[in-house]
Amino acid sequence: MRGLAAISSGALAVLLLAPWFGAERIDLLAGLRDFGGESVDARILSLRLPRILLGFFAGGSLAITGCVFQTLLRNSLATPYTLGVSFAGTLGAFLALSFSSLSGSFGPLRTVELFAFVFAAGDVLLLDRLARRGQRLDTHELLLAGVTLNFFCGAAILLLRFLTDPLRLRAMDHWMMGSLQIGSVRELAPLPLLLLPGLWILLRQARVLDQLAFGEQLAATRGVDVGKSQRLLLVAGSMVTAAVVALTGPIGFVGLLAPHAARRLVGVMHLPLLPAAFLTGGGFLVLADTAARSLGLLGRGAELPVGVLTALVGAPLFLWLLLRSR
Amino acid sequence: MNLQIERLGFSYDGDRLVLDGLDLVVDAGQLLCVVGPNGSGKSTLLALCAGLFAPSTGSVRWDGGELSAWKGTERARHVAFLPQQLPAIAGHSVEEVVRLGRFPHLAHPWARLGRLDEEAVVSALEQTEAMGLRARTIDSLSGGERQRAYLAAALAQGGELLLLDEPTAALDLHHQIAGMRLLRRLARGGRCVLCATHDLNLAAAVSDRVLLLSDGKCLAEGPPDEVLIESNLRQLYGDDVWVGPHPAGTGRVILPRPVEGP
Repeated sequence: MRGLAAISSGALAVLLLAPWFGAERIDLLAGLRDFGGESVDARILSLRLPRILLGFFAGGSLAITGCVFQTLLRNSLATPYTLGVSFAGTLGAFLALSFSSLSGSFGPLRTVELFAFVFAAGDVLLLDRLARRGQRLDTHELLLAGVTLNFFCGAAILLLRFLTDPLRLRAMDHWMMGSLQIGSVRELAPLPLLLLPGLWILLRQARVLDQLAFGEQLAATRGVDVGKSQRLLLVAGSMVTAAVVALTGPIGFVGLLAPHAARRLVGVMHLPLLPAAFLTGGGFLVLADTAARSLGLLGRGAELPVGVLTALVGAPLFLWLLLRSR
Repeated sequence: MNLQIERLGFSYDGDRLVLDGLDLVVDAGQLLCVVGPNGSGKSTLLALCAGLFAPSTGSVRWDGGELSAWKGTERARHVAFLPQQLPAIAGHSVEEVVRLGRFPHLAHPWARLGRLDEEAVVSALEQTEAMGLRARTIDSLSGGERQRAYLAAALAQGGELLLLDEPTAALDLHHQIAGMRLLRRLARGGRCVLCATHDLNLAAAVSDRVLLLSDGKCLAEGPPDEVLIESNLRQLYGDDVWVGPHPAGTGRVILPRPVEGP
């Protein structure tokens, strides 16, 4: 419990400090007093707070899904993107970005987000179909099929980039690098609908994941409905990932780093691990985005893409964790 | 309470029968060892008793109820299974592994272990002499220690029907004897224990009954002295088997005949 308390304190500290920092220095208290008003502080804050919220939920969701997929696939290198959800979502987004006739919105979602979500969801349904053996999923084939779809979508993305109008390439590149930039708090409207059901399902499966970690046979003799649980975890985890990819683009490394970091602090049992991974991933992404916002002025005046920063910071951090475990 | 197996047949591929027309009744309070060559259907029989597969033909009933038709958690409260392959998952302590055995008894997905669950965990650790291992991680244990830890988890699960696939395979002689004595004690305490083993001498020494399987069929079944006889064992393992009286008391000893020639 001490590990979880430490992670919670760290995440809370990041959430409290993040609004103070960014490309523009603001008087936070004045901005809060005038929240929704026309002052500069209030207007910057009205962009910054939803962005922090999006970063926290996106990072947390990627981390929790990474954790679930590592257990489900029994592979410590699995990430939310291992099964092709990210590239499939990117392919959908690129299709929407390639054709001007596809611009617009559908309910609370822009077509880019909608296409990303639908393609990512399609990837999962196809995987479920390919890897299902009777009532159960063959996790080995699931992994192979996921990696194959990753390659296929990657090639399709390159083809689309090759064929598309060069003027649209910048928007594609920007999307590909992942970003938490949002125009207003209204853009967060789809967030609860897309994320919370999946997260709730994953958290409820924590003890089932403990059993699945020891193999399907042992789990089945302890009363786990293995096939049902596997598919529930695959679909819920992938839908959560699809939603994050649709809203932020592919942000790498959080889904690999955060579960391993959380394991070191709270152990391997999933009941403390899943919330700990969520808080670690959420805190890490908000921290990275705060750094990206703040470092923007040091560069070309444009913000450093947060997806690039998470990988640049995350990779050495992950290697350091590996070295420490020896 | 008893385990009733009637005309049991099973095939993995719908073609070759791994078990064929098996009939068996094992009462609570008995330890039955299932013996046979590799591929004779021992592990499949235990898996069917654990409800992991539905029989192709016939039935497996516990206390009158068809096991494969029970809901998973309901079945897991009555039947505990120790498989042959025991994973060494990094990071789990032995105590955590044993506590996981209480999963079928939890009231809801986030329920904490109650007083009865904690008592079952401690009792299982004590019975398997694994109390001293409880803080160690499962991946740091020797094969034999790991087997005791998983046996403790199966005991903590608390079913009346206990199924064990090669439980003494990785144990040294002391722990083999202790393990089989424990199984006998558990049977005397009212459980029904089925144990698949290649160790004919241990089966002869501790079991109440022995089932000899040959190509998925029952070759013989009954008390060890009546079943583990040279004619039966030669049918199973060939002519190089020797069966004689135990030099240190009652019972039999089964040995390979000396190998002669190059």
